[in-house]
Amino acid sequence: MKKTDEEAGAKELGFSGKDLAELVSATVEKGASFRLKARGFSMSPFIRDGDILTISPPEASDIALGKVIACRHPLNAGLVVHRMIGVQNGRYCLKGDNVSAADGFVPRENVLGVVGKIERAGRSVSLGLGKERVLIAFLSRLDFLGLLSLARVVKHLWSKKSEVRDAGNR
Amino acid sequence: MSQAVSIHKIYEVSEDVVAREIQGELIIIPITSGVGDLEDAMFTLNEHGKSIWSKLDGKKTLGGIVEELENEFDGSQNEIQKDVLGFVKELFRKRILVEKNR
Repeated sequence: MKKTDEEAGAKELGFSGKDLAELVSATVEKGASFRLKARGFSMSPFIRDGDILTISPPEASDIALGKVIACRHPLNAGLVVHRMIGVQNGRYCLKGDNVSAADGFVPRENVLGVVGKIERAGRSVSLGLGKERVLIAFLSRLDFLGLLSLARVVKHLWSKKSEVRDAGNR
Repeated sequence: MSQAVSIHKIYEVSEDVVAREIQGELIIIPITSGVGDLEDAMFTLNEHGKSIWSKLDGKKTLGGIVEELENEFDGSQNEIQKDVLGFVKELFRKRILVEKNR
């Protein structure tokens, strides 16, 4: 038997989204939470690549506006962890905070859990999970968060340009 | 319940464990304090371990498992028994396996 966090961690095994959805599902079905590393930038800045998420089994009242939900994608059965920004006919609309388009609507039975904890560099991060989540969901629907990301990129490029110009003037 | 692992006892996978075969690897995630931790507490088994694991069905004693493995692997009965006991002891200590009450 080998311990895998050094020899063959989740990253090295290259779990697919479908594999992760299966592991999350099997764990929450036992009434337990599931802890895993977030991959990607779709929920930036509230969830960053490499953050550790704890996904808890969903109670009916937990699936509320603005909550970050883990679900099985209705088309490819992969794990998706995005924010719930609306409900229609009992189906939940999910969207990444850093993505322009919503994922679409997922049925209740596809919901695997709710993100209750985010850890970054060994510390617990709460921004994006508290009462502000409702405002974030509202702004996400307007794609305002996407505009903020664009503004940050423009600001970064502008500062780089200034550095190059200043270096050339010396 | 006796804590000593015995060749005459039956063991099975604890209910507080998630085990799935993924990409040819058997992934074992113990649930500790209500959390299954993929980042810090995941195990995989090598081929030998997978063979032993597959026979832990809660019906056979470890002695019965040793007899089956004698037909599948080279090695004396003593060697195989030692491997099985060592494997089960480690998983029993980590509460991944539990003794089945008859």
